[in-house]
Amino acid sequence: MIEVTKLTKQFIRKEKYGWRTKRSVFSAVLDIDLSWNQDESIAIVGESGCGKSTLGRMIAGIIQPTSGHLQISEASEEKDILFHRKRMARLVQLIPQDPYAALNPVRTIRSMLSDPLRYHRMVFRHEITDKMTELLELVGLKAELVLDKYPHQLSGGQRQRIVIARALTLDPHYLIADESVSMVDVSLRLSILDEMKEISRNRRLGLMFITHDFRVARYIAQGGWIAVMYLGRLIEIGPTEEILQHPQHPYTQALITAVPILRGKERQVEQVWPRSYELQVGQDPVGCAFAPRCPFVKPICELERPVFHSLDCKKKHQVACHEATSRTIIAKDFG
Amino acid sequence: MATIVDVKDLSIVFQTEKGVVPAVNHVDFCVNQGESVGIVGESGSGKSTIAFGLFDSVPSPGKIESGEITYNGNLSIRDLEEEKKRQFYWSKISMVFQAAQNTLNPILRIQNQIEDIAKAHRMDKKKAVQKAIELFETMYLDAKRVLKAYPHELSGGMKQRVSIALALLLEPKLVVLDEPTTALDVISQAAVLQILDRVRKEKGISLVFITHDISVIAEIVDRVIVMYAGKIVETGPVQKIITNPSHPYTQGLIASIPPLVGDLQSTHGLQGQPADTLHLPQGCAFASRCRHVLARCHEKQPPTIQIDHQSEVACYLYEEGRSDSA
Repeated sequence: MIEVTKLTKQFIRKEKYGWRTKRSVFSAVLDIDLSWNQDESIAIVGESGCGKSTLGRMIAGIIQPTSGHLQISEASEEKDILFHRKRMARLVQLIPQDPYAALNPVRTIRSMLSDPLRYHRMVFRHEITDKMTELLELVGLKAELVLDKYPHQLSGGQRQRIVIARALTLDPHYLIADESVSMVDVSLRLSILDEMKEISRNRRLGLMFITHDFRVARYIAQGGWIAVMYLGRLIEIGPTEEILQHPQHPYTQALITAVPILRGKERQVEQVWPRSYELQVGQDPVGCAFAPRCPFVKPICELERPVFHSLDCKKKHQVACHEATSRTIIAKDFG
Repeated sequence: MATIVDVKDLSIVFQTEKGVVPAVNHVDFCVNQGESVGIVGESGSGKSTIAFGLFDSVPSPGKIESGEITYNGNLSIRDLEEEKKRQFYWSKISMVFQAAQNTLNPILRIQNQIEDIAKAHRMDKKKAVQKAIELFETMYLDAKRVLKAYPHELSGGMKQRVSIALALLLEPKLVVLDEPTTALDVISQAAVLQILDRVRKEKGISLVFITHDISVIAEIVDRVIVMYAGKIVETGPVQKIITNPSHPYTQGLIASIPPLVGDLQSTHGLQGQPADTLHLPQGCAFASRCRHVLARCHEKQPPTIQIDHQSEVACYLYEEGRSDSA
């Protein structure tokens, strides 16, 4: 289980005014509490700039949190930072966002995939090719066709698969996929998602999928969890179907309203639109961060920050909003 | 309803080192006044090339091999002189390019860019700016701030709306939008689409949307043209395409959109790799990925078959006498 408590990441922002530099603190991720089991999948949904990628990178150990605590139950406390990094790499792997930027253009697929195997002494030297073939098969690629190629010789979908295969080289327990299909054509998206779902099921991988698309979130986190982020904070978390059917935070409702629906298959029951279409990044108000855009804003929202609470007794579906009300946004259309 | 643009037998080829790529292959379609049409296809299906074809400005090494593009029933764009054509663009038809937020000039304030358009089209600068302010307001933009801003001071969604406003500045009859929302967040995407739909209904202009994701445009187009490997494989009203697609490719495309409600069992991806336009087969290009493939699919191109008065499909499955087996 990965358990995250009060995880915060702040960046120092420098703005130049002539010869003077003004420094300000920018909080990308703020006080996030989250826990997730190895055999579950969780989708993190939010607009760009909400800190969802930063959260993923912190959990993967690529950047250090400013404060807060990250506990992976399989990991023991290590004092040595280098050793710790090596340990972490075998537990959590990140699939980066852009498959075009994530692969070194001057190295062949073979050299990219074999490096981690050698460094971490995963297999004997003579077994490396077999292991790579097995990995590539897992993501639906033929080893003899791609192993000795350079990234530019592959299509976008193939690159995406290579990046997934590379993340699997160390047999991690957790996989964090950052917008992994946003660069891929719709027709190819689903086969990649299917592969990721199957791999995570077969290997009991804990999958965290970061996305802005509720369709993708529902498909990948089927039977799992959806967490919605806004300006660095978690605002709602719950079981996938529960979030989609009965969203309680106005922001979640607005995000679901904004998904273009297929009329004839889906029907919009109610619409919730934010008061402004632009996300204002940078401020951290005293009250609820969504208050300036919230259509249901009340005086209390600007004065007091809402805490996570649950409306049902099972405490599964939690929301941080003073005015949380369950609304049905979409339903099945039969005609 | 008057026809705004009529495309007949359009073929566009790209002469590359590896051979000739037929990007657009004998395509016929038309757009009526006030209509909004979506052109849907994978990358490499020739949908963006069609957009450039509509402007008779296919980027080199591509060229229009054959075909006729007529506006308003009598004006053939390929016969226009260069100078006339420049006047024709933007005042009669305009385009919002792919990644339109990067098409604004980074070193000019938005106001100067508007004045540039006015100058090129011999329009009064003040009038143009006034018009732009109105357009910005319909797009929920703070006109005062936007006019004075450089592109880098605006967010992606704002830049996108600015470029749409610029495309509408000279009140064209037809606007072509190439992937207008791909780089945007869900909420700004919904806002941009809503604005476009409203502007279309208010001004009676025609819109052509080019996209790879049919779910994005499903709510705002009347008619959908599905392309595969440079050919139109199916056309029809959007409701029919979504609920009852005919061509196996369209069926696969619709089935690969995960639903927001209901079960996920019927959702499955398309099999195989996208068509290689350099080595197109003799028969139907989709045959190698098709689940209902017949022997003659590999031999000869399927004819275009009329299903009802609005829908057409290019597939052997719907030929006379065997429509039941589909």
